[in-house]
Amino acid sequence: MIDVMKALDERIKLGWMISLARHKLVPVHKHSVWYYLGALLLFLFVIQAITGAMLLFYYKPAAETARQSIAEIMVAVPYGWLVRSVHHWASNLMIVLTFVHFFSTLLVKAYRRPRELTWLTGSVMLLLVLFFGYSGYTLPYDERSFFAFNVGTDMAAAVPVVGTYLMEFLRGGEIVGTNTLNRFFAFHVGVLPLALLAVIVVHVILVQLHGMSVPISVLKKAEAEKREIPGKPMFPHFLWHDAVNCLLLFGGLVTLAMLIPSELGPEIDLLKPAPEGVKPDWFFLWVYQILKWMPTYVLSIEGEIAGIVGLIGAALVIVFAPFIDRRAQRNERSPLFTALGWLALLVFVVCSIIGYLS
Amino acid sequence: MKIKESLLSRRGFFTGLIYGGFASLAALVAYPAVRFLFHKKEMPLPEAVRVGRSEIETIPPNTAVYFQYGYLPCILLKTEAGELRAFSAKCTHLDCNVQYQPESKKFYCACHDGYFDEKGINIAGPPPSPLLSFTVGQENETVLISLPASASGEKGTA
Repeated sequence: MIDVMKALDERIKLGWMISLARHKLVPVHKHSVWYYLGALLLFLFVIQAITGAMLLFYYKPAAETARQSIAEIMVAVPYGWLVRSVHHWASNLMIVLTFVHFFSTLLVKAYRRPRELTWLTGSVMLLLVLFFGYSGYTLPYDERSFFAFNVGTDMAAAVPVVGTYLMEFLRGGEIVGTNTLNRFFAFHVGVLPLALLAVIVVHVILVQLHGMSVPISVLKKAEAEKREIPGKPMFPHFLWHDAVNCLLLFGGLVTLAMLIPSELGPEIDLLKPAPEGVKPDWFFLWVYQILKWMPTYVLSIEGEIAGIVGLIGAALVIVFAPFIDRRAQRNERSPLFTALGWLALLVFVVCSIIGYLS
Repeated sequence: MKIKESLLSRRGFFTGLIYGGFASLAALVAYPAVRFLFHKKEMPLPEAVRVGRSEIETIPPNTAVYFQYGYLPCILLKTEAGELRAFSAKCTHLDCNVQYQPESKKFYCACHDGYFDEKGINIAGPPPSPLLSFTVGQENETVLISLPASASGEKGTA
């Protein structure tokens, strides 16, 4: 064992990585817990890549075969139900943890100089993860997928100027059909994994380059008390915590998959009305609820378009926060952006709950 | 009571427990994964394939035609004397489809230059064994092609 490490070190200089990890200190303070999310998300990404590749062994992406092939995975392939359910639950947990990571970083203003690029790559990843989730639940091509396809691609049409082209690009034609399924399959298993992997690499390298961000409040307090913020070595201390966290997450994930396996809806019937209470997956419930509240017209603009433009505007303010929040950039307290962050979190949580209950 | 010497140090005991725990976890993950990945769909071969006499009569002597026996690609040879012989078309070397060469009256596999004679016996090149041969029988106006009982064991792998 030790000889292998030595031999590797001689050949590929493994040593510098370990010494880098040993020398890297992770600041320890009352907000340190938020530092754990990145490793958990990476772990879930690996699980998704493995279970996703496994599902590809049996999934047949065409309108006539997609639903049937998933039914076979669920009942005929040994442990197919488990593999699919783990993939399903890991995707949900990945979206939950991405949102937690996103809001925690926003609220401690980790986007401050010099981490603007890290923040931007993170924002891109949030979008990619959401698109991952959406494209994933269209793939069974059951009733729910069909309405998700219709509503989602129709919403793309609300984007000003290029909307119709965007919608037809996503659908692979004017209406939702087997072309749409093939396109979303290509996104889900080809485009998105490569894109996400590329952005993850940049994100992780940037995090290693800058070290962990320390919240303004902690910095101020340490400054006032004239003391250094204590740190723990990344290796082995934090990696050990990360490993334990991942193990616990894995246990929770498998438990969820066993107790609540993922479902498969009825077959698509083009001539059937949308079922009562059909709703998007939970991570789009807030968008759904906000759009439902929009009046038909806002200042002579169609309500849905106004809502979508408004949401995109709000998202842009958050994504470009590092360039707008001047106070935080000077490491000063920035109550306006703290309030905006909490407001965004509140809107997200409350609208999701109302959307779920309504 | 305290034992003076122990076979196992406390450290060794806990290390073993942790490694054992991880090994069990790995096995628990690997077992379903392996079962999932190695699942194969059963594709049973039919009992027999029936061909109309009139259809057989359209085949000239010293000619072979391809047909499907379930998922198996097969070849039916009508010899110069008019005798019917049926074989699996899969070369026994590496599963390429063989072809019949009327001028030399041999089955030839183009992948690695393998040869079989009119009876499907491997005679030259790399093929290690004869072509899987079928029983050709008659039933009223149809020709009945079926797997010989001895070959039924090969159904799964053929």
